Amino acid sequence: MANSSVSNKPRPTRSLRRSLLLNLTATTLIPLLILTVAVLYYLTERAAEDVAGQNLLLARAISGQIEAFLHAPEASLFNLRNLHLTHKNSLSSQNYQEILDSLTESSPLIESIYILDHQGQITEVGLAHKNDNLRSEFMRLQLGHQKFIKQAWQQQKPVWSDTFLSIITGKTSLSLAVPANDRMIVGNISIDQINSFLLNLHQEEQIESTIVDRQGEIIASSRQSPNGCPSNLRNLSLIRDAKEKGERTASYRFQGKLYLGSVAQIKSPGWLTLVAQTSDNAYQPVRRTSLFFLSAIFITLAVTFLVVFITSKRIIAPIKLFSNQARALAEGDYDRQQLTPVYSEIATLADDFQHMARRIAERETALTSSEEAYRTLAENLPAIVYRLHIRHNNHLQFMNSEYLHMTGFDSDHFTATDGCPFENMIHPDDHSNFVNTLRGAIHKHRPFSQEYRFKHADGEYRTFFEKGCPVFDKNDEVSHIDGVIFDITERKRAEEIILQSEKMLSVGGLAAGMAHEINNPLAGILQNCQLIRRRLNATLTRNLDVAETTKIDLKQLQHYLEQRNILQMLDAIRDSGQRAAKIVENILDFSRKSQKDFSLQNLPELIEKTLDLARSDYDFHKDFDFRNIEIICHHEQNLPEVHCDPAQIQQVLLNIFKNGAQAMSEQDDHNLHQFQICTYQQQDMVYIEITDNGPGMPSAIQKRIFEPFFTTKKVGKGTGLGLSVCYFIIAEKHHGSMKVSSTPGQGTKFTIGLPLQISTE
Amino acid sequence: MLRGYPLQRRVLVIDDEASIRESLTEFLEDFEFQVSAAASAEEALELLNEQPQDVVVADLRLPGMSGDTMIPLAHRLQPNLRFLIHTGSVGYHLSDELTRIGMQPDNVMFKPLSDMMVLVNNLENLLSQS
Repeated sequence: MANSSVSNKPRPTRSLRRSLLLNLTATTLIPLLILTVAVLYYLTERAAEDVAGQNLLLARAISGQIEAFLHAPEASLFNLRNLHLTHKNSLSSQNYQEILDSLTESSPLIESIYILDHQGQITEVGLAHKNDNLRSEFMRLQLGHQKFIKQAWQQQKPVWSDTFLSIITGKTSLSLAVPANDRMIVGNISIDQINSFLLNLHQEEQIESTIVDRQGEIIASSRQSPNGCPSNLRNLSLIRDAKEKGERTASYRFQGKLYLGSVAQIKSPGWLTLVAQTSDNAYQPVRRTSLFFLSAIFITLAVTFLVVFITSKRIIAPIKLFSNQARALAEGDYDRQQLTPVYSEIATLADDFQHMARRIAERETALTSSEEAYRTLAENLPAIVYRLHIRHNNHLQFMNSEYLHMTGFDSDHFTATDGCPFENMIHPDDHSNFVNTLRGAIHKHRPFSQEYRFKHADGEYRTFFEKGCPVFDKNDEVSHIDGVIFDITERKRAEEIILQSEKMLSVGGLAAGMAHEINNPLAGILQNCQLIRRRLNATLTRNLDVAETTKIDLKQLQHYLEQRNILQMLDAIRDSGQRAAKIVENILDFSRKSQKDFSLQNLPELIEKTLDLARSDYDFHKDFDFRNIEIICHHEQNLPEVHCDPAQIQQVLLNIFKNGAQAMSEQDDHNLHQFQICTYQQQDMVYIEITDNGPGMPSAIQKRIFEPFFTTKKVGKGTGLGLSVCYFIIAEKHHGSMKVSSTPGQGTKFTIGLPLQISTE
Repeated sequence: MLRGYPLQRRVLVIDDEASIRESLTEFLEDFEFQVSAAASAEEALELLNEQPQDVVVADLRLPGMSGDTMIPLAHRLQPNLRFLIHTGSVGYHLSDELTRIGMQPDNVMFKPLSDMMVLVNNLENLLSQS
């Protein structure tokens, strides 16, 4: 039930319902059980005592009854003895007979009376109903051998016999021998009535009363069916003990049943009265109480079960619902229906749960948007953002996709385990430095920055600038490095151009001082060259005059000079001189620093003027006719005027036109040559775009095009300073920007940006 | 050298650099100019003191007095005299004084001239104005 994914050790869990059931059952049942046991124990004790006491009392009462019962015939016999002793000699045999008969007749218990003589022979017989036939049978019977008679003779006191079956009535009987001088009076007493007495005593009760004689023979018993029962109880320990020691109470097992019995003595014949009841019977109230308690326990259990079932259902149902909700929450489902719990605590829990879900949802939204913000921030950065996991085998992780643009490699190239290490693409000259910087940063726990050349997928090296910072874990060990890498190739190149331009500036400053000194000899060379060329001309009259006076055939001389290429050599001198002059002029351009010629200029007008100049420029016409080039202008309306040096801007534009026109003229195809000129404002800059449809140039050339002395033109066609001067004029003097972009075969575009407000430094 | 006919246009070339001075002299003579030459401003003024000239082609940086100092002096000597400046200096702008005596930016030529015909044309223009 408990979905504890966070617990680190699996703990054995228990069902709430079972625990509740066990606990509640224990709390209700244990006191109940203790009470039950205590009560039952007490009751059992009490019942045993009660039963024992009751039994003993009964036994005594029965004993008393029996004694009283036997006392009547005993008294009769004693009276007879007294009569015998006092009146024996005065009574005739006949009278004696009658006295005996009447005595037997009047006593319901005495069956018969024998008078024995000294030898133990019956001399007189008293019988009820004057049964003379029977009397004659008894007469002269020898009874002296009877044990009780012998005892009576010896002890000279009355002795009871054992019980026997009467030959007269066939019923259980008993004899009492009473000695009277030379005679022995023996009374036979029927004790059959004792049995009925006992039976009458407990007709419905479960109590059994039994009378046993001295031998342990059962004389009478309240047990209805003595069949199959042993008629002798002498083996019963209770009986044995009672015979020896008097009254006793004990429990015993008889015929497979447990009995609780008490024994009382009947003194005169030495009998015992056993009153017993089965312990089943004796403990009946205890059992009834137990039954009561048992039902109480069962009811308690049932009620407990019911209570637990209902309660646990009310507790578990919401818990299960919470569990489901928590699971749904984990999946991001925050809009689960609310439950209606029974218990206030669970209701609070439900409210808290709902509150928690809301807060989590809010937090997740906040987190998501924050994460989104960070992700888009990282993603939009024009730099590689990375994380280098030092612990995980220096695994490189890119946080944005700029690396694709900057390195030209796709996502897996560096990050895959079998991929190419990033550092492998670093320029061999920079490699060791790169590795050392990184190691140093990790070792010294310091942020680092470095520059290196990186081989782009296109095979060209780019300059990267990297700034990184080691990040530490709790143990102050570097876990990873976070960093950014910028592509500073363009900036580097611009810096180089500026650096070179600045060099040129210093050279220019030097050249300005020397310009006069250089220009003069150049003038000497060029002028003389031209003069020589002119003086060799065979058509000029002055030359012909001098030739005539010196007797030289100019035509022949001409022919000779041509044959020996001397004229070309002269032209070569002239061209070289002119080129030298041009270089000096360009270098001097770097030295013109003053802004005194700056003024507000309407750029479209300035462009128009420059185009006019280009069309009329003599130099232009040497190789191509600018007038054959189509010019398409798109000038933005209301373009603000720009603060600039018009002559210098014209120089720049002219240079671009010249380069473009030259490039287009070198193309073999006969397409219409075209310049597209656009002007527009963007923020606080005004841009001029000049696009030709010439052959364009590869990127390698684009990158170097602004470098001083870089040229693709044939020797003599350009100094290689033109565009570097342009760049210098725009970037340095006007604080503007100048860029070139080109696709080979599709033309070249120059973009010049001039700030509206030039800083007046 | 002097042919001495009165209609010939007289040009005084002032330049301390012999190769320039002489080649220019020779070149202009081919175009029927009567050319005098001086290697310094002082020498030129001396020469102008003695004989009239139509045009002066003057360098600026000269051993003693500079060309632009000399021009106003020469103008005082011969008010009809015209001037062309042929200089190796870069970025030269006419001073107010020179503008006042009638000089124009066109009259300034920078060495080295890729074609001396430019100078010849300029001379012709200047002379045709008077």
